[in-house]
Amino acid sequence: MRSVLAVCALVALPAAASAQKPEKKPMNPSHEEIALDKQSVVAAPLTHANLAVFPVLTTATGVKHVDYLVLDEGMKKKVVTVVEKGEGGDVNQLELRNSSDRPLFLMAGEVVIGGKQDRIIGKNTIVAPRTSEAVPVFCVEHGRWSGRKAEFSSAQALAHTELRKKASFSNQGEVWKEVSAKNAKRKLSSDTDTYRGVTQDGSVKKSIDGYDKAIRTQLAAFASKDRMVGFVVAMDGKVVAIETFGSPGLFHKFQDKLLRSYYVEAVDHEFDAARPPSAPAAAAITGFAEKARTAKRGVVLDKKSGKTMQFDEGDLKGSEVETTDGSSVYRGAYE
Amino acid sequence: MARVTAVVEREWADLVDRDGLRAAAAIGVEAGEGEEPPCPACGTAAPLEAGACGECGLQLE
Repeated sequence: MRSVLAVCALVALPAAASAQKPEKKPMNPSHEEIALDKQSVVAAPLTHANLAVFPVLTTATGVKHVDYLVLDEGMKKKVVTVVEKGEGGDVNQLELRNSSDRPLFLMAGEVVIGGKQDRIIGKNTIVAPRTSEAVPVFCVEHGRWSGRKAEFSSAQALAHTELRKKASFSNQGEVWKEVSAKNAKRKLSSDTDTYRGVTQDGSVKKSIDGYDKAIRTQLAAFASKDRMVGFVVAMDGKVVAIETFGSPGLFHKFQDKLLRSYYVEAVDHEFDAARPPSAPAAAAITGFAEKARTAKRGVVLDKKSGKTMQFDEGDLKGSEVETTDGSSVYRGAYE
Repeated sequence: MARVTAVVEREWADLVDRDGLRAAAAIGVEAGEGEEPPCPACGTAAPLEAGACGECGLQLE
């Protein structure tokens, strides 16, 4: 009986202590969660070389979420098709048909290949169920404007982060320059200077293998992944992005593509393995989030399915997608 | 009135350029007889140079 009481006392003591200080719960012995906003916290980073990925966890419970369809899923189920617009085609617009009964969330930088030239999606947006509409895109194949097959397929990849930024905040010329620069860095050559090699070539896969294995292993061991809605990314010791989704379900559909887009970016940054960068302090993360939160937004797409807002304050850019009732679907801020 | 029109046209052109949609703005603009059709990327209507648009370099042939 005495030993049972002793065990009860041992269990009760930490419980009483935590009851007095309930605001922070350690994620692992050396790190604590950082409050990002009223509904999310940032956990300790997953790291490899010059990259640190801090999981963002939702603290909201019992919230009903819309089950968004995404491009790869929709194309695989043959309920989403992407074709050239009209008979002649248009370099900066493609026709997307969502014949499913679910809204489709489309991410800027998603790569589609085929048609008259390969493209990337130009804006984060929602395409309503049973809808066909023109979506903004950018050409990522400067040397081709021909082809018999009008229908596109998904490259199942997001462009690397610098190209994603160019797509959302720059113009076609800048997108072509970034594609050429990346192809040169990755030593990829093609007759038409297409970006598809960066998404599919074995040499690129091999070059990011270290990132992929290390982060994947740490993520597998991460206890709270079911609450993950996004991440804060630091490269070379500096916060470069915060990307969060409206639900863990939607985030998990993009998780691998998003991580890969950062690996493909990070692999071309100069990095001294003997002096790996330290992860940024909590203040750098909360400061970045605050700058993004207070940035002045403008609506760039306003549709019956939702609206897309963007901000561009020089070194800090961002994009947000909301449904018509104001629910957040995606938020991204990038430096 | 002419100045207002010029300002509105300039702002529209800037907006179209910024969003990379100059080709979209050129849609529906058909080439007249003897004129070159506009480039589907940048909207430039000029003879091709080695099969490419002389302005943006998009390979069209």
